[in-house]
Amino acid sequence: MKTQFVPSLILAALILASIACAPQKHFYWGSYEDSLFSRQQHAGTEGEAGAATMLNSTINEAQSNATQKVGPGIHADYGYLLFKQGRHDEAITELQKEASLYPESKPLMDTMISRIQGRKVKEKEKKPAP
Amino acid sequence: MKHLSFVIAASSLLLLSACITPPAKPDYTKFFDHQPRSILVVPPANKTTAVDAPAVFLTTVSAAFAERGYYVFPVFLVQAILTDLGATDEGAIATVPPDKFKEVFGTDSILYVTITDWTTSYIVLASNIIVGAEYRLVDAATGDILWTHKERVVHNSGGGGGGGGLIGALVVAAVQAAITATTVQYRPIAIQANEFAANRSGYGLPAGPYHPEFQKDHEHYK
Repeated sequence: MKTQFVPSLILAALILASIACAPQKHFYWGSYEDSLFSRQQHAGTEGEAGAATMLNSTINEAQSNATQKVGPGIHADYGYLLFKQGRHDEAITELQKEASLYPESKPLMDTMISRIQGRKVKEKEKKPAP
Repeated sequence: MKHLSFVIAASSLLLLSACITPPAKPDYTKFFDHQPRSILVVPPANKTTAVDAPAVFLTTVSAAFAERGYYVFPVFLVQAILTDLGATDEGAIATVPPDKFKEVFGTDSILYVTITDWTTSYIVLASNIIVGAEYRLVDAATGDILWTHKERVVHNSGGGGGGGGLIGALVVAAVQAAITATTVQYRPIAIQANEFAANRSGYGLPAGPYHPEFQKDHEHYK
C-alpha cells in the first residue's frame, strides 16, 4: 500500500509541475505557423490560396478573442498573400492594420503600401480608356 | 515509513535535477544596452544533410520568440524580400551587413539560426528524433552580438509496443527503420527546441515589450 503511494506521489508532482510550466500565450496564433508549413509543402498559387484562407480564419477568430490580440506578422503575411493574388486594396488594408497594431512594422508596411500603390497606378495606365 | 517514501520521492527528484549540468550563463550586458523591440528571423543556415530542414525550421520560430514579447517579422515575407534583393542562400544572407537589415526592414535585431541536428537514430525498438540549433541575435544598428544559445532536443518516439514476441518485435523495428522520421515528425520537435531556446530562465531571451515581465526580470538575466 505504502510503496504504491510513492509512484502516485511522483506522478502527481509531475502533473502539477507540467501544469505550472505550461506557458500562457500572449498572442492569438490560430493556424499561422501551420499556414507557413502548408505553403512550404505546397509551393505556388494553390498553396498560397490555402494559406490565405487559414490566415483569414485566424484573423476572424482573433477578433472574437477578448484576451489575446492577433500575433505579430499575421496581418502583414495575409496582406502579402492578397497582394500576390492581385487584391491590392484589401492587401493595403491588412498592411495598415499590421502597422497600427504593431508600430515596429510601420517602416516596412509603409514601403510595401507605397509599392502596391505604385503598381496600381501602372495598371490603371495600361488599361484602355473606357 | 511515511517519511521514508517522502525521502525516496524527494531524493529521486534531486537525482533527476542533478543529472543536468547547466552551461555557463550568457552575458546580457549588450542585450540590455540595445534592448530590442523587434526581431527579424532570417532563413536558417544548415549544417545537416537534410535539405528541407531550413525551410521547415523557418515555420517554427515565430510564435516561440514573439511570445517572449517581441515583434517578429513575418518570416516568409522577409524571405521573399531577401530573395528580391538577391540574398537567396545562407552564404549570401551571412554577408549582408546588419545595418542593411535595419534600412530595409526597420528591425532592431536579427536572429541567425544554424541547424546543427536534424536526424533520426534507432536503438533496437526505440527511435530518437533529434533537432539541434545554434542561435545568434545581433543588434541591427551596431552588429553587436546580443545573445547566443545552443539547443538540442532529443525526442524519444518509443517502440510502439509491437508485442507478439521476437518476430513481432523485429517487424516493428523493420517498419520503423523503413519510415525514417518525416518532416511532419520533425516539426513539433523544432517548435519545442525554439520554445526551450527562447524561454529558458537565465539562458533564453529576457522578456520583451509585449510581455508583462518586461524590464522586471533582469535579475534572472545577468
